[in-house]
Amino acid sequence: MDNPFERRATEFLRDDEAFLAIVSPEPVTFYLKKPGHAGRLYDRLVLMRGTPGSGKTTLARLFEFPSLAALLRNSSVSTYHALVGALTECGALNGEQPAVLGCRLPLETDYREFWEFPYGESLKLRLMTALIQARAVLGWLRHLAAAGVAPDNIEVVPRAGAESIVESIGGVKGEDIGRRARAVEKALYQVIGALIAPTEADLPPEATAVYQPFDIIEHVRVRVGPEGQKRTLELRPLAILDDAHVLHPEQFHALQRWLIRRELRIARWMIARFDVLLPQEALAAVTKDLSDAASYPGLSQERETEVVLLQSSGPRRENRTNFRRIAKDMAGRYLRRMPLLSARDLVVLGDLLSDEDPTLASSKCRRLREMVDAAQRRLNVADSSRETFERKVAEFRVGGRPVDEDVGLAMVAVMLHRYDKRRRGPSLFGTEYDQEPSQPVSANSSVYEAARLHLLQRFDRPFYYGIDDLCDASSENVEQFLQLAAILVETSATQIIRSKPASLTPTTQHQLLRKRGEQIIEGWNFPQHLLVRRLVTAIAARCVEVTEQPNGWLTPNAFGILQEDFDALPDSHPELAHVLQFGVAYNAVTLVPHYPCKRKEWCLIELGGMVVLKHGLALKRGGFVESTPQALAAMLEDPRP
Amino acid sequence: MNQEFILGKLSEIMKWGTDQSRREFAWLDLMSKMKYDGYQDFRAGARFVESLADWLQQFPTLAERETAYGFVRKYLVYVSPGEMNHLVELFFPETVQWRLMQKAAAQSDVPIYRLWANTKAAALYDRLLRQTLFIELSDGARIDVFRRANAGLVSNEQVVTAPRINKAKWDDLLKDLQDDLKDPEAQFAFVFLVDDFIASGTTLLRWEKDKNRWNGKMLRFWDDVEEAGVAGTHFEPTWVLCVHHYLATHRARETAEQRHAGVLKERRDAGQDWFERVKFSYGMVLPESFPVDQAHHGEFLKLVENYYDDVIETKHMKLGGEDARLGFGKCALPLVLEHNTPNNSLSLLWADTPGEKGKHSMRPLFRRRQRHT
Repeated sequence: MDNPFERRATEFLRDDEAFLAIVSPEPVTFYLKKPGHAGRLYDRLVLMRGTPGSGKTTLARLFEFPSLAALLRNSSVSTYHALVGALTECGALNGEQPAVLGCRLPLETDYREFWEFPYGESLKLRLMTALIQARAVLGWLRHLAAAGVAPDNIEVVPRAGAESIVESIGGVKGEDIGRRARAVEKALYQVIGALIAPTEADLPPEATAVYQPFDIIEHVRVRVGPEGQKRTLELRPLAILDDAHVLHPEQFHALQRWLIRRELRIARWMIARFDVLLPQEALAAVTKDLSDAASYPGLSQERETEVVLLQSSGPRRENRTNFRRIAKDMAGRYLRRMPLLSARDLVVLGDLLSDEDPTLASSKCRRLREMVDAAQRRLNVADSSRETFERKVAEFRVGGRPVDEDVGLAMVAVMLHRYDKRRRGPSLFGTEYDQEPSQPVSANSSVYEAARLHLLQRFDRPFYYGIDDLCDASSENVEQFLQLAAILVETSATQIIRSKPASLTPTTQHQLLRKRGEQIIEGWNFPQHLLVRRLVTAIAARCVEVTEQPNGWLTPNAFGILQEDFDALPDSHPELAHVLQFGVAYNAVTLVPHYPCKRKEWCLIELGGMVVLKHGLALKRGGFVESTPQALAAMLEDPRP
Repeated sequence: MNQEFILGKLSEIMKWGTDQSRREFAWLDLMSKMKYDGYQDFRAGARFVESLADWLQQFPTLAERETAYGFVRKYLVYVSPGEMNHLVELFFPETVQWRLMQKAAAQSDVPIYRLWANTKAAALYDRLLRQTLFIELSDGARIDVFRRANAGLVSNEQVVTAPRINKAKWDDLLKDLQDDLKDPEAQFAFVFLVDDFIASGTTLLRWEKDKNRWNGKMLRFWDDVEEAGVAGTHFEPTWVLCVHHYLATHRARETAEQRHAGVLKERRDAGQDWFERVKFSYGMVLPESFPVDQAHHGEFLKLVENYYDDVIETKHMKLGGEDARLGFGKCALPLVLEHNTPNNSLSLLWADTPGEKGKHSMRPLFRRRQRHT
C-alpha cells in the first residue's frame, strides 16, 4: 500500500511524465504569473526564497527544458491543459513552442569548495562562476540533445556588440560551444578535485582564461522538426541555481552580486532557503516582502531583481484561499496515484474528510449543562437574561444551520461571563435589578469560536476536521500539508481494507492531526530547533491560558510586539532575532508585519500549524497576546533546553 | 490473492482497530516487500501475509494469536539473500586473506603490515592463495556467489562444488595446481570447508551412541582423504584445514571446537590420525541470548507446547534428541533463512503436519523443505 503523500520530493521522480502528473499548476500561477507576464522572470535576477517543502525545486524542475518538452508532447492530455496554460501565462511557453531553455544546477556539490581555496576573493568567484557557466551551457546542450536536436542544429545568438568576443566561448556553433564548455569544466574539476590546491601560477589555463557565456549569449537558435520541414526556434537560456543556501554566505552574496548585473542577457534564477540570510535580512524579507534590502553601488535592488517569496507573507486572506486551492488540487493528483482509492473513484480529499459537526456524549453534555447552571448561579445572572442568551444562540447560524446542543451550551456559558464582565458584577439588590450593559452580549462568530475551543480544552471535542482545517493547519507549506494528509489518507485506505467507510469521522481526523503535529514538532532538527521549540511552547502555553478564559474574549494563536520594537530586534535582541529567523524558515512561526490594532502597528509572531494543532489553539488568524521583545527573550532563558 | 483483501482478513483475525490496523498494515507491507515475500518456498498468491493469516488462524483464542503475532513482529530474525550474500562476500577479505597473510608474513619473517611492500612475501602470499582449496559442505554454501565475488582472485580450479571427492578428482586438482604454479612439487597448503549455517554442530561432528563412533561431515571428509590416500601426496606436511560457516549460533561455535578437541584426543589415544591443524571461523555469530527461552518468551513457548505434533520426530530429527518442539538439537531458534527454515528453528514456525491420530495439525508460517524425508 504505497502512500505517495509520504514522499513528496520531486527529485525521486526520474520520469518527466510522472513528475508532471503530480505537479499542480496553482503555485505557478500564484507565484509566477504576474512577474512572468510582465517579463520580469527572464530579464533580471530572480531570487526565489522559501522554506523546505515550499516547492522551490518543483518549480525549478518544471521550467527545465525536458519538462516543457514533455508537457508539449502530451499537451493533448486533458490533465496537462491547466499546466500548459499556467506556463504560457508565465512566458515559459509560447503557443505550441517552448520559449525558454531552462536547466537547473543544484549548487549542493563542488561549488562550496571554491571558497576554501587560498586565492583572492575575485579569483575564487571567477573560478566558481566559470564552472557554473560551463555546466549551464552543457546542461542546455544536453537537454536539447535529449529532445532530439542535433548539435549542428544549435546556434548561439550573441548579444549586440559581443560578436568579437564570441570566440572565448568556442564560437556560435553548438558543437564548438559544447567542446569549449567541456574543456573548462574538466580543468575546473581538476582544481576542485586536487588533494592540495594548486598555486595560482599552476592553475590550468582553461580554468583561468576568460570564459563568460552568460555575458555573451542572448538567445539559442535551434532548428527542429523532420528533414525538409525544419523550423527555427529562438529560446531564451535560463540558468536555475538551486539550493544556493549551501554556499558560504559571502560566496552567496558575491554570486548574487555577479548575477544581478544588467549586461547579462540570459535569464537567471537563484533559489535558496532563508538560512543563508543574516537575521535582519531574513526577517526583513518576510516582513517587507522584499529580500536583501541592501543595495550595491550603482544598482537599485528593486529594479534589478525580482523576489519571489514562496512563503506566507503579503495578503493573508488571499494566501490562505489560494493555498487551499493548491493543496486540494495537489491532493487529487496524489490520490489518483493510489490504486486502492482511485479504483473506487475517491480522488477528492475533501470527500474522505467528513466535516459533519460532532456532538458530545450525553453524559458529557449533562456535565456541561451543570457547569453552565453553576456559572449562572455563581455569577448571579437572572433567568430572564440567560433565556435571552439561549434565544440568541438558537437564532445563530453557521453555514445556514443552527449550532448543536453542546456548542449552544458552551456559547451560553461564554455569554454569561461576557455579560458579567460588561455589567461590572451583580447588583447588590438581586438579579431583577441587573442593569443591561451598554454593549449588549450577542451570539456571534467570536462567541462560537471561543465556545468550540472551550469544548476542545475541557472535553476534547473534535475541533480540527474537514479539508479546510487540514489546509489551514499546514501553514501554507506544501510539505506540511502532505505530511498531515498522509496520515489521513493512510487511515482512510486502512478503513477501506477493513471494509469500513472510506470517510474519516471528525474525531479520527482531529486525533490523527493533533498526534501528527506533535510528531512533526518532535522531529524538528533544524538549526536552533531546541530554542525555537522552547519559544513556541511558551507562546502556545500563554495562548492556551488566554483561550481558556471563560468569557472567551480572545482566541489567540500569536504574540504581538510593536512593529518599531520588532524592527530593532536584530540589534536589541540578536539571539531572539536569530531564533525567530529559523522559526520562520522552518514554519514554526509566521510573521505578520504592520498589523493594525488599537491604533498601533504590531508585528505578530503567529504560531505555525503544527504548534497550533499540538496545543489545541484556534486556526483563525488575528487573535494575539500583546508582548514585548524582553518577554520573548526571557522565554529563551534558563533552564536551557 | 488480493493483498488488500487478505490484510482486511488479518485485521479481522487479530481484531485490530483502525489505528492499530494502519500501523500494522504499514509494517506488514514494508516487511513483506523488503524481506519475507522473498522466501523461496512462498508461491505467487500465497506469500507472507497470506501465510501469516493462515498460520494465525490455527490458534483459536485472540490471546494466543496476539502472542504469536507479537513474536513474529518483535523476535523473528529473517536472513535475506542480500544479508547472506554480504556474509559470503566478506568471507575472502576477512577470513581467507587474513589467514594467508598471517602465514606468508610468518614464513617470510616480516611484520604483517609490511607484507605487500615485501616482494618475496607478497609472492609467497600469491602462491599460498593458489595452494588453497575451497570445498562446499552443502548446497547452502553459495559457492557460486563466492566464486563471482572473487573472480580474478580465486580460480575455478580451486573451488570444489561437491563435498565428497574421489581420487581422480584429487589428482586433477593437484595437477591444475602444479601446472598453474609451474612447480611439479607443489601441494595444497589450505583447505576451506565452507557451509552457510551451523546451529548445533551435530551435522559437522557428533558422537553416535548406538554405533559407538564419531560421525559428521568432518569425519566423512577425513575418510575420503584417507580412502583416496592423498594425505601424504597432495598436501604439504603443515597443511591447515579451515572450517568456515557464514552464520553460526553461539552454542555451535563452542560445541564444534569442543568436539574437534574430543575427536583429536580420542583418536590419538587410540593411535589413529586426525586433522592436526584445524581452524574454525564464522562470518557472524548469533549471540548467546538469541535462542527463545522460558524467561523471555514463556507465552510463546506455551503455544509451541500446545500445538505440537510429534509426527515430525523422524529418525533424522532424533539425531538431535528425542523431542523436536524446539527444533533439531533443541536449539530453539527464532530464525528463518530465505532459502529454507533451519530445522533448528522452533517447530511451530515451519512444521507442516496432517494432525492424524488425534494430534494437533501444525500449519507452517515458513514451510520448510525437508532435506531428509
